[in-house]
Amino acid sequence: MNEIISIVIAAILSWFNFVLIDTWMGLPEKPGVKGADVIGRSVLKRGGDLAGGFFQGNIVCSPDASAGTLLASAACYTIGTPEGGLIAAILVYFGNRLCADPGYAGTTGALTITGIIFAASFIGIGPAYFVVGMVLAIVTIQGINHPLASKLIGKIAEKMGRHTELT
Amino acid sequence: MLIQIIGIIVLLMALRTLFAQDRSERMLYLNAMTFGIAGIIALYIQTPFGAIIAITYFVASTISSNAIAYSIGRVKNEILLDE
Amino acid sequence: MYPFLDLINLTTVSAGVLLIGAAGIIMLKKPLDKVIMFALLQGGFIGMIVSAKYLDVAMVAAIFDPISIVIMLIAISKLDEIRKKKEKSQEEGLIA
Repeated sequence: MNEIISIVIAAILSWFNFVLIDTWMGLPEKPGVKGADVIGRSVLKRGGDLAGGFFQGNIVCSPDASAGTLLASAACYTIGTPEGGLIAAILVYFGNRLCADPGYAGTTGALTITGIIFAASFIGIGPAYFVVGMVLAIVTIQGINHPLASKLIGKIAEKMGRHTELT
Repeated sequence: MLIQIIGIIVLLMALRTLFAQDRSERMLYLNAMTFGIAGIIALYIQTPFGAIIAITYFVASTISSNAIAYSIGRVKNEILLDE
Repeated sequence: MYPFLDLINLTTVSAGVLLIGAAGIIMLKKPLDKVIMFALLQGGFIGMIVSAKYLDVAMVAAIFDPISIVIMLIAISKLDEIRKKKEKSQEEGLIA
């Protein structure tokens, strides 16, 4: 029972980490690389929201804060808590430039989740629970029902003033 | 127990990829499965090289997903030869 | 139910994903869907190599598989362009 509570807390923390950082860095506003445009318009055609569709497309086609969160938690688990996060931040930065994406969302997500893992280690939640929590969080956005998730992301984007202007 | 939870999620996402209707839907389920496989690799091999392999696999799979999504946009409805 | 949960480890999950990917390649008809199933098969393949602890082979496979997917995609889009151009010129030939 203790493990299940730890997994749920880690999932909620990583969900907020990557959704807030991605929305703040402007991911729902426009497609960063060309593949995200295709996925965003297909979600719009199936009854979703265009900003949410661009968000989901940007997660698929370029390493953003969701990738930074998962890889930083994996590196913190195997290498050690502050060093692993920094190594993961550097490698995600290389991956971003390889995909021709000029943003900094991946490195920001990796650095903030390293801080959260360091703080959560005082409560007793290790980095392994953050790996499982991140996989659960990404399944809620991209694995259950795409139009509903895109509408939720669209509402969050509107509240933070990052909704898209394109149609 | 952690590997088992992610393992069930990976198998469910793979089955949804097979039975999806739309191509872009398949890309989203494929990406969710990639997150799961990267997580399992890092949890199974508990040395630093395991994390490096998870990062390499994830970034390379993102590049190939970007290429596939771009081709889906370019080739809207292919012409098959024997139809 | 608990004996089944003990069977889930990296080897069996990767084998399941490999079989699902192979079934998709055989069953689906359009080439672009087959390439998406090929990417699924790559994920299971790398999982299988890692579970046998051949880590350097896994690193090389992870780097070279997207290159083969990009080559297949270039072939598909080129062939489709040529076929569409031929169809359009045949249509204009019939009208004119």
